[in-house]
Amino acid sequence: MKTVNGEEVTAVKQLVTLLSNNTGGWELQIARGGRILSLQIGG
Amino acid sequence: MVPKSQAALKQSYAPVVKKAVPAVVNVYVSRRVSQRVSPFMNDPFFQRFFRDFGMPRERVQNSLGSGVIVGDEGIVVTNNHVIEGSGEAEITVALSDGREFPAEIILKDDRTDLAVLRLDAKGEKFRSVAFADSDSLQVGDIVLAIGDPFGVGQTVTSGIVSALARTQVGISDYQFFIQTDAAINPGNSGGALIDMDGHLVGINTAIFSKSGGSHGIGFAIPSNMVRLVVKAALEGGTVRRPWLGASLQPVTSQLADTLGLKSPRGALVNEINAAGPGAKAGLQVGDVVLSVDGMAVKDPQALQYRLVTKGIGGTATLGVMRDGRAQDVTLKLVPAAEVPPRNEKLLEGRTPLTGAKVANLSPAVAEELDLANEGPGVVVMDVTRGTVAARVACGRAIS
Repeated sequence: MKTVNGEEVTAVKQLVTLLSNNTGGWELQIARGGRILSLQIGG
Repeated sequence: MVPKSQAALKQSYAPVVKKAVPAVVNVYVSRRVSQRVSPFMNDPFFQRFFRDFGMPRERVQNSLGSGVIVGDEGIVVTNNHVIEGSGEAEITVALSDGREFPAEIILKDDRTDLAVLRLDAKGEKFRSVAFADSDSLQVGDIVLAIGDPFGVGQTVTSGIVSALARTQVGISDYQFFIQTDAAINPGNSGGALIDMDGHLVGINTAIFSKSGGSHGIGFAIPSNMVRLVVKAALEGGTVRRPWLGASLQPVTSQLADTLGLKSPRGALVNEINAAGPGAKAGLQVGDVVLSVDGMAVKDPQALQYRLVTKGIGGTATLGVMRDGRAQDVTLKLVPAAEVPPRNEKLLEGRTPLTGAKVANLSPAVAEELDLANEGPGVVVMDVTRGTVAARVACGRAIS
């Protein structure tokens, strides 16, 4: 995981907090095979 | 050369074959797999929505490969791809004399494509084959391939070592294959490549073929790698590999000119982890590693192979070219650090990543998943099928 709602993901515990703190959906950035995928979910 | 006597005319590999054949086995894998059957499965559009629905139906999948007894207590080495698959597997090993024994998997290593089995034989002793030193092989040496191609029965084929250190075959992470023209066909996988002493020089693993059959281009995993994996299995663990802590790239002709090398060879360090053993040994970005303990390294894959086959513990001397000058670097052979701890967690609740198993990214996790990034960050280790995460983030993703 690269970012959740613009915040850089650095640890599992922090990722869980970031995912549960949403108010109007999630913006995810995921690095895969040298590319960055941006996803907007909910909201 | 014209044979000078009747004895010289009647040359045969039979004495070598007799020595090795009892140690080469057939490996049968029977697997119960559950498959969902839905009326929509034939339609690619509906498959996307209905693949997790429908009635599960069980069927038996059978596969066949070869294996080699390398320990007289019934330790068999084969290819991981021979025994790999989903569902519960029943493995039966058939000896060359026709006896059959059930076997259990004691180690699977998909990165080398090797697996180690133990025969359930209650104290029975078996004929095993000894390991040769694959580093002493030379192109042109005569070798024999023994296995069970197409399930026709145990078969011996002859050839020579066509090439060594083939690193661009693209079938496993640690590539350093022995290439041979001894005929290798489907079913030979996991079987033996032996030298003229009847010793194991490699495990036949792959072929280059457009038809599916042998074209005289077969590849075997060198015995020095096989020996390491078998040792790890007998010590009850997983295969632990030394960590360099550096990102490497091959030296192209253009780079060789720039770096002052006479020919394109070696592994160029283009990134280095300050906390890794490479940096601690004094390795720097821009260094070209040309040898490990005096053995030439032609590309990054060869360097990885040389380090892996050294095993954990002790040191290795890397021959390095830096700013046009040759020098030695002493590298400690230690495994990748698991810092931070992986803290694996299956995400639950109402989030877009529910069903994803995530972990903290450390050099050990990066090494395990063959990722260039060594952290910090979070990596998706696995995704449960049919979950939200499977739709959003299926596959591995890293920070």
